[in-house]
Amino acid sequence: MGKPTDLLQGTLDLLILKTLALDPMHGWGITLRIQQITGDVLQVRPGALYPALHRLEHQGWITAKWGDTEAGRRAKYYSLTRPGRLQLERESQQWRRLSSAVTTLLDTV
Amino acid sequence: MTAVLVRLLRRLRMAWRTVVRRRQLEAELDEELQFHVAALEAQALERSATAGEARRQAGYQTGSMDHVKEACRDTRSVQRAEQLWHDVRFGLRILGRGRAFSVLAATSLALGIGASSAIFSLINAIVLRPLPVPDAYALYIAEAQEPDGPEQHFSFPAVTRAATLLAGRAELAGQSSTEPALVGTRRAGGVHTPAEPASLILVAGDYFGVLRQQPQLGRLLAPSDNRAPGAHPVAVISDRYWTRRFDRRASVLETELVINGVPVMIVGVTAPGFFGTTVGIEAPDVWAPAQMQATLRFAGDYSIDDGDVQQTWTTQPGLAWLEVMVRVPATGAPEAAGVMTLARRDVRPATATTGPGPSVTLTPGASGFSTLRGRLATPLVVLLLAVGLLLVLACANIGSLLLARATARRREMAIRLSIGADRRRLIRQLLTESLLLASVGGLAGLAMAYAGSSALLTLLTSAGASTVLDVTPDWRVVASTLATTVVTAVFFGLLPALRSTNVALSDSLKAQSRSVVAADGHAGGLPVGKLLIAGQVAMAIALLLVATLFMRSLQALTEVDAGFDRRRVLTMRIDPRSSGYAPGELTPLSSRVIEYLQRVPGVQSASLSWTGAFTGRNRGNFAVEGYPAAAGERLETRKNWVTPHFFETVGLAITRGRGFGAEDTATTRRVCVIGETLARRYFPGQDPVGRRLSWGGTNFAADGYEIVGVAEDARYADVRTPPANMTYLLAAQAERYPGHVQIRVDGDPARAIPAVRTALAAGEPGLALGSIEVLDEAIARSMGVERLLGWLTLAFGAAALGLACVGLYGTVSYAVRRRTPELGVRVALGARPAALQWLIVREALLLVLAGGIIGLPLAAAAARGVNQLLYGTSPFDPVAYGVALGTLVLVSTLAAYLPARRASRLNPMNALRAD
Repeated sequence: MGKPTDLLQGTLDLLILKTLALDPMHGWGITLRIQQITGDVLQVRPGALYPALHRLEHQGWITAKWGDTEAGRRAKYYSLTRPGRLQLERESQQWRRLSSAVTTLLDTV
Repeated sequence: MTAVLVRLLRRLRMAWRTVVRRRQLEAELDEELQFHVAALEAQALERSATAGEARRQAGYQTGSMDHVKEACRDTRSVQRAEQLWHDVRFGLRILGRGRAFSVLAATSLALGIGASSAIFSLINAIVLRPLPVPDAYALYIAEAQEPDGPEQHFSFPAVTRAATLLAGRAELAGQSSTEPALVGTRRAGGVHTPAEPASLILVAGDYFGVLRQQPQLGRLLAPSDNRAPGAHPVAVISDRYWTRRFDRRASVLETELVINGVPVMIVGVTAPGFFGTTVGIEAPDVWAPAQMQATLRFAGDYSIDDGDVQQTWTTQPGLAWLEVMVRVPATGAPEAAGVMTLARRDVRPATATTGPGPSVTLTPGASGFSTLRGRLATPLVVLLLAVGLLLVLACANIGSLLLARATARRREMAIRLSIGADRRRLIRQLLTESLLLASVGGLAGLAMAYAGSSALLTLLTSAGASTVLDVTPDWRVVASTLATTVVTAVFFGLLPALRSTNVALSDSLKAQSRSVVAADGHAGGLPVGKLLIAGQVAMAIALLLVATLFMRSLQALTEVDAGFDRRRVLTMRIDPRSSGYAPGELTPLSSRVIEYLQRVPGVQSASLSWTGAFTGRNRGNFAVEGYPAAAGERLETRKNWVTPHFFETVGLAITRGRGFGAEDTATTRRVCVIGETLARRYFPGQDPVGRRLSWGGTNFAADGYEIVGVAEDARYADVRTPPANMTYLLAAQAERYPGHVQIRVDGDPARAIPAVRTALAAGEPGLALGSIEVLDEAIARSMGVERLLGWLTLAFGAAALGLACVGLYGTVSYAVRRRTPELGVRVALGARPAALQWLIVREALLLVLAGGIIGLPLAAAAARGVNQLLYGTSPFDPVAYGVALGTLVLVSTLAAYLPARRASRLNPMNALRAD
């Protein structure tokens, strides 16, 4: 079994930002969402997720607020800030450029 | 702009939160992660049967929560600072626990870093530091590229011409060398103070303008002060001289200086701290216009080499050599150099023999001229390398000690690693400990540099603190000390840190602490340690050898026969000219001085001379009767005018003919005594007595001096230079002002100094007296560099030996402890103490041997490298090698013997029980 979270450097940030673009979410929620949307292809372990969340928070791209879950438990919800939205756009563009370049290469050679 | 500000504010708020609300942040982090684990458990519970299984699965997926937390903490912006603070606190605790080790290590580092910083601050002061004048980096020094090397001296006419041609493009300053002069003072009211020695410098061009100087009183000299020869009786004095001689009184501007008998008006005082452009030992006290040279330094002026004293000196190209400093923007430097080349050729037109003359270049002159730089740069770099080697050795030493401690701390490391510590983090922690150790050393080292560099200077010049050389540490010294500290810390700390954190966890934890040590001994811990010891021995050999070579060289230099009997001779400066004696009074004055001196108890004989017995220098081309000079050959000799008893007073034997006697008077035929070197040179295999020399031409009957005797050679310049051509002329036959007195005494000459001074002051109150010193001391002063090299490298060598032996002692003690059971068995089986001791010592000697094999080629290479600095000593001097190796073997055997003796006295019962 290969490591499912073997993501390219910086890709995790992009995934987190994208996931938070819709609505605020806690760390566990992000894990589930990424897993569901990618059909279990991508799994994010806490060892990678939480440091990434804290880093993004420090960079000012996301902000955190304590809230209650549906089950009534306290959880830390992260949401996207304005600079975070801009960063998401930049990173997705970059990603599209990169992946299309790689795809072209794979298709032609 | 606002975005940047907003970001900055947020950063600050985050940092603030991290620092102040650390507890809360930690709690939140805990809660956040617990929530995640709980959710995972819940999910697993849905899928699987038991709660226990669910928790296990959740744990598996999460990994170590401590690890995650640590990674999250790492993202905090002030995290690094926080960790550093933690590391520092922990490190201090660890260092405090091993106090003996810490003190030893910090001390040896302090010595190493301090010595290197002290030497570096000397190099900094002599070579690197810019002159303390505004915008020093726009200053350039002019050099004429003569065929036999660059020449920094230009004639006054060339300097004047260059200043005219450069006007508007660059500013130009000229200066003579700083020469001693006897300076008295005279107030308008007619109050005199007697002449005392002071240093005089003559300046030309816009000297003070180029150096951007402002007066603190009166005015400074300007180009208008150099219009006509002898027409500018003005001078500027230094702040120090103002303090020393005038108590900083403002009335100084109404005072005249009497320089070598010539009154000049004081027009200004320079700013405090200004010392001119020459970084050396002595700063000028008085600045005077170059056009005053003939007036101020005419008679007895040994800087006029071939001067025709009847002519105006400024028209003679050979006179008044000036060093030239140009202030020009960097882009204008090449053009200015071209202009100076033209100026020089204008003044000295091309001839068939000289060609068009050399071109002039400008070299960066921010750090000024220096008399010391050429003489000291190489020795100082050698010292810096030596101290660097010592520092490497100290690092190896501390490194091996740390390695031993690392072994002891393996268990601690294993535990910390097993409960989730990051290895990089541990290494950082260990390096912090090293850095702490090095910082203590670095701080102490900086203090040592502060005190040490002036001590070095004293050793070098055997004079008091310099007035010019600023050796106080500046940012360069601090930066280099800091760099040295960090590099040493990494150097000695990295290897032990890497090794001690590279632990196989299960092995170390399973093993009992004692066996960890034993097992480690075989697991490769020792070979590295042994290698370090052998390396230390190798470096110690190199340092010891270089030290012995320098000491041998110093010894050779001290034993040089200078020609003078220097231990029982006093020399004294006098200045009859500035004291107002007329030329016609000189012969009676000399007789009186000698008479007064001979009445002093203990004085055997006395003489007067024109230049000093050891400082004289005056060349002049002359003709020898019967010696046909080859085309272009220049006959040169130093000259000195002396009174009849000169030779017996200084202890120079007359080897042929006679010395001066009562039969030679002012009215009899002119006579001279020549040195052996001159006799050999121009009268090979002949008797020079009765032949004649002439300085006026080839009419020997009219201008000649008859040689009446040959004196043995004296080393005139300093003891290193071989004897030069020397001619002694009779003072009574010339109206030369004597400047020096020699006095031969019975017993300790130093004790006769007060009596001599009193006798002369009482007998001849109008005569200015200068310093009196024993000739031996004057010679010792000329050996400053050798003394510095010798004693410092000896100190380094001793320190190296000491460190290497501490290392050896530690290794042997360790081996003895490790082998205690084995040794106990040997004792129980009846091994004799001597055999046991040999067993231990042999191992140590093998290490020394290995060190020797590495060290001897290193030492030989080092010795060859310093060959240039050795005097009368071969770099392969067998005595030096013998002494260095002998000392090393002796001391290291002792270092190994001490623990060996302890081993041989083991009580077998205790030893066997020990394991």
